[in-house]
Amino acid sequence: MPENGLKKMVFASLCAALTAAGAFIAIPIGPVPIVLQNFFVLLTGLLLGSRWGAAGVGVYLAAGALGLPVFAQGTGGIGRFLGPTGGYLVGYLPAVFVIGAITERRPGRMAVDIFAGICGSLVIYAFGIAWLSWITRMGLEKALAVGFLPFIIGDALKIVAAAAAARLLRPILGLYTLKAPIAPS
Amino acid sequence: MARLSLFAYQTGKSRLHRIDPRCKLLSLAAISLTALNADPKGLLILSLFALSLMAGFSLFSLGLFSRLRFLLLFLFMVWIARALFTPGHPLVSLSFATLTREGLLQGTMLCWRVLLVVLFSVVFTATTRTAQIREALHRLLRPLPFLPSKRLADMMGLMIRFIPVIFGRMGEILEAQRARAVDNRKNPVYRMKRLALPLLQGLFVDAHALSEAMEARCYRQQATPPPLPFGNTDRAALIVILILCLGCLMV
Repeated sequence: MPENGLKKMVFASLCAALTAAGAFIAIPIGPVPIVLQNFFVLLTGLLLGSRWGAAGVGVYLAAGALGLPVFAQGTGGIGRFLGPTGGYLVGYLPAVFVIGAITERRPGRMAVDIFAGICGSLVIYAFGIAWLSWITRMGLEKALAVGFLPFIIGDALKIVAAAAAARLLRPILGLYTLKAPIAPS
Repeated sequence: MARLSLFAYQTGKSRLHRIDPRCKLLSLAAISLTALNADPKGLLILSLFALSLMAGFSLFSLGLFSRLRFLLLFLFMVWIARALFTPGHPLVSLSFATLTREGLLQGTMLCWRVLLVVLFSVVFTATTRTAQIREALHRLLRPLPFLPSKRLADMMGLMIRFIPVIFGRMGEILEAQRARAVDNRKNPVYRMKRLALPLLQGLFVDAHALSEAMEARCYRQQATPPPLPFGNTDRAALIVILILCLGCLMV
């Protein structure tokens, strides 16, 4: 295995676990609950880049598809992909790839990270809303009203928080900067 | 001590330990699906089953509940939020929210379901080694085409092991915060920051240490897998569980 591969694999698994833990903390409003999942998806992309980020999110989705209780409010199973919120789940994968691809160009720049987060969130919502309006037969406007508009402020906060957390965590990961100060655990 | 937490593996030679991990994994998936869909009667049967499993294999102790306390606290908060913010028949009206009958019922059901899933997950992870979980996942994923099943199984096994570490760390930090009176602060942003940043920092340091430990122990994907004999007992156990799940969904 290449030198950094193992470390990235463990980090990607940790990100998948964080996403699962974030999904437990769900606040139900309407058909699409508020979750911390997408915060961790953003963070995964920012920290691990496109390829390993996608691996982490892929592992999370695969664990959910197998039926492990990792989706919002402790649910799981392949059926969730076909439910009203399935589009958001599927959208995480391209979103994390986009975020990683953008942030890899200019690592460590707050503005770039925020831009990457915005792009990634838009990808998630594009998939999520398309699927939501198709599966529930509600019009695009209604789908936007229940599946996007209530989350804009929360997501803006999540993007800023993810960019700030990424800034703090990157030195620990030692992926972009070689001089990694590792705190004693 | 995050590692000696609730979900940690406990050595033993009980029947539950010896049952094939694939059988346990499939049962866990079936049971969690059932727990999330069953009505109160089915949930009651599942709860009795969970309690008898834990009592029968002496996983059940007072220590369990003290280790579960963070989760219970968290579920209690979910329950309150559900009870207050679900529309329906008002029971008590407060200035900012109303306690509704629907909310109370929904909250109770949700917490019950989540608690059941957690209890069964405890039984699973307490009796199954990480290497066994990994191999079971690998064997289950192998038939699927175009998937790097070994890599996926390794990462999924790690993920399953990380989830309890996350909650353990979170509990530690919450207690440390309370010791420093951070929870007296009114500003939620301040409190979130003081929780989230040390949590993430600590977890990534943990992950870093884990990857070094794996490297030091010559981790390779081609490691010899533990043998997994799928015997008649396993088949019988799986069938019993599936019948139980179907029964819980039917009643």
